Amino acid sequence: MGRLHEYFNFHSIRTHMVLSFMLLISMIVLFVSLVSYQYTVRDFENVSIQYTVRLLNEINASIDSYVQNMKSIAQVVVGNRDVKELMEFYVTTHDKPLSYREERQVLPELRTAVMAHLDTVKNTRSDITNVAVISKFQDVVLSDPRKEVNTFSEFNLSDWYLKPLSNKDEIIVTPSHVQNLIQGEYKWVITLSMAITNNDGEVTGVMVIDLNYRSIEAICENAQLGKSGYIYLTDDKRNIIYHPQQQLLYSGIKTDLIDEVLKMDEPFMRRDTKTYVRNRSAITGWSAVGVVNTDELLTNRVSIIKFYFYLAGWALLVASVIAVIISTTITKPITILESTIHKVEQGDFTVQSDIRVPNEIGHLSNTFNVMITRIKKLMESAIASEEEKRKSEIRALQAQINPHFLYNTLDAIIWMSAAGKNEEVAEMTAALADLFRTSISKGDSLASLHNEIGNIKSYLTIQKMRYGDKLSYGIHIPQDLLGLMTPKLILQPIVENAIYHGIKLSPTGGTITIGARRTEKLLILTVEDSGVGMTEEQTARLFEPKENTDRGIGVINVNNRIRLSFGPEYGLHYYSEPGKGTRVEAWLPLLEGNRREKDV
Amino acid sequence: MSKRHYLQVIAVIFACFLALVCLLHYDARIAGPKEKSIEIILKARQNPPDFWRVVEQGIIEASNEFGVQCNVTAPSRESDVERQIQLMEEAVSRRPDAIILAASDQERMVPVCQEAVEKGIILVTMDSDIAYEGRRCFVATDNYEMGKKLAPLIDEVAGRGGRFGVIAHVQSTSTAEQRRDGLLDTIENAGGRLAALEYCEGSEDLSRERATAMVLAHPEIECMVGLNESSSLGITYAVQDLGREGEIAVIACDSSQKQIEYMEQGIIQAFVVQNPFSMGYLSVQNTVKLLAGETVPPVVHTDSVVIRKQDLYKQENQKLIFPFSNEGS
Repeated sequence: MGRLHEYFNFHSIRTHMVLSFMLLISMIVLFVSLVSYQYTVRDFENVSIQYTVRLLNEINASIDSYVQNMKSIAQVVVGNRDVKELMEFYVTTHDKPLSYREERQVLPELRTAVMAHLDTVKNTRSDITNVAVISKFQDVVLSDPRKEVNTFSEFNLSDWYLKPLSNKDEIIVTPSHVQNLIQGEYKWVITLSMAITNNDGEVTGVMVIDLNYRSIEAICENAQLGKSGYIYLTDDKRNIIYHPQQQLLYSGIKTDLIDEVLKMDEPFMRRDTKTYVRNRSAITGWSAVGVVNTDELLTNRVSIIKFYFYLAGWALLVASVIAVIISTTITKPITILESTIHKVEQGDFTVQSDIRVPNEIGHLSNTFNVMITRIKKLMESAIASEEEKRKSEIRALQAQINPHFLYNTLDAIIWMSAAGKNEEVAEMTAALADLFRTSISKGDSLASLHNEIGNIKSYLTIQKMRYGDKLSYGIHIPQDLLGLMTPKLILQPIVENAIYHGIKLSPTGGTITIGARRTEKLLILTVEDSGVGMTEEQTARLFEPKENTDRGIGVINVNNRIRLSFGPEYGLHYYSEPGKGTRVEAWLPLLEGNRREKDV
Repeated sequence: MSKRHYLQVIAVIFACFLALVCLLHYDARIAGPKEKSIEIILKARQNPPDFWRVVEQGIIEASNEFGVQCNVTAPSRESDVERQIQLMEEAVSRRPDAIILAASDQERMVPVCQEAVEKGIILVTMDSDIAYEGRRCFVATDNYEMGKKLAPLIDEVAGRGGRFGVIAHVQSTSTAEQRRDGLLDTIENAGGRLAALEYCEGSEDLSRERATAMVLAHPEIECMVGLNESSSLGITYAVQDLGREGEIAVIACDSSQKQIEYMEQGIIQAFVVQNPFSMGYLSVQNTVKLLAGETVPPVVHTDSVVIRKQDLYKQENQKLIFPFSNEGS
């Protein structure tokens, strides 16, 4: 979770870039997908309309060839010698009474021959329900001898009978209608009729073939127009020849757009949810109309949508990965630079940015490097000046010691001169001179322990002369420690303090013992006195700064000097008990003498 | 725009994308709805009059179109109410989604219909209604209107004062009662002109018998009216039996091939036809709508048309009178 959060840090440029990229890409992909989808769907619809047009062409071709086939069958009937003869017979004997032979022999024989011929023709195809010939005086011969003519049928008023009589060359194909020519039969059929002529070319009768819908239906049903699409046939006078839901249309429950379809100029039109495609045959004059449910295309539409969606999805996925890679590449130098700056923030001024890219970030990196170098220099000079300041402070502290002691010693000299002790004065003055020689010297604030001991010996000589028997001292320094370095003049204020506040106040006087030892890390100088000692309270207050008194000021200075020079772990430590004396330890670092020039 | 907003926009886009993918996926997996089953009980089926045959054609057409399973049963005679109740009980026991009933008796069919409705079966009536509010839809010819259409035809063939006799099919069947009332309410001087009214229990033979008796008992009758197919045919046979073709005019209800033949022969002068195909089709169509949870009007009327001999073969009448059949009858 933490890593994830880090990865998608909302406040990083990288996340910002990734998201921006993805937003942009999403919008582009969406737009492109929508446009492509529109084109594809339109294309798809065009293809399906073209398909329907081709299909209708084929259907028309099939129907044309079917009708042609029927016409050639009709020609066979019309051209039959018996048929012609029978018709001629009916016409010539129409208004004459028949002779016995004619009635009993000629006519029945002729009829039988014609019937046999008609029956043969009828049986050639299963979709022929009836073949009949009718003379122009309405004598009917049916193909099936068992069937009777419906005497009430009034066929003589129908188009299929009248038209061939008046026009011998025309082959009539009727729209679907109920044929009532045969008694007890009322079938919906398509009737094909043509004139029968005698040898002189005069019309003597009409040949009729009734066709049921089986063949046309088979042609239309075989054509698949989607799940709910269908094909219907209509003639130019809006009469329906075939419709899969013919009875629904006849019952008035459903209607189909026949007028509009017949009037349309384009090969197709759209109404509501349906697309109508029309194709007219010049031979039959019939129009095959394909009705495609536009909703059917929806299934295809769904699969197209799906396709584009998966495409868009993959595009987005790939784009996202690329966006992450690009953003990371761009922002990586920034991240590195940021972490470098972060190190600087934590105080490391030694770092350098090593980004070497020839763009703004590269420039930024270079500028940063220049800047950090400058800061480093500034820092160094600041530290140097600080050091300088501290040193001058130390020097000031050192300088502070000298007047105190000088007053006191000079007081002592005055006091001895006044007493006429010339020898002592000479000795003390020599010691003072010695003391000053070691104290006021050029160079560093460090001196060898040897020098420091020499210095304190001079000092104690002076003080011994001042206090006489009241003060005695001993110095016990192991020889091997004499070469170690100590800050200058640290023993003198301690010893001074021991004399003034320890021994001076003791009525019996006391002894000062100076020693040194080394531990693993420390050089410890000890100053012991057998003076009055201090309470714990006094010891604790020893290093508190005091306002209006000189008391102890030297010791505080010494302590401060040690700590300023070496650190807080060094300094002075007091161990004291009232009446028993005081021991002071100066904890110092172990500084080998050869590091520094040995002073005098 | 803050980064968080970017994130929200991206999240919304991705969510939409995911949702659509799921939707499409789901959509592709939706199976077609389970085929509904409808039990249909007609008044007569075996050796059927043309009327019920055409009703069944309408039913078949609709069941193919709407993809429902239709099981059609009927008693062998229209008047066999007991058998129809029995068929109804059998239909209920098969637990169909819906039952379409052409009731032979508007009172006696009620209990079994109640039982069906209580079992959650949608009940639709057709042709003849029942006296029960539980049926959801009634698809039929407006029979009263059909009766009214008979009145001017009687005036046409028998003159405005001519006497007439009526043979109706089954007493207490709504179709018979409504047609009778429509006729008697509309015709002038009904009481004075109506010579007699008999019922034939849906049987041609009984109609023939009673029509013969009626004509013999009332020699002044100039016109005989049959209120359905079987009564009309019985009347036609009676008139032929008596040798009174052309003297006694026949006005019929419904059409059949025989009636058409008799009209061509001039025995029947006119008939009023219902639209049985529409009735069958619309009853299934409305039932399918009910099954889909749609509301349909409680009564759906199919039209009736007057056919006289001279316009028997008019294009628009051919379509009505001769049920379209590719195979031929």
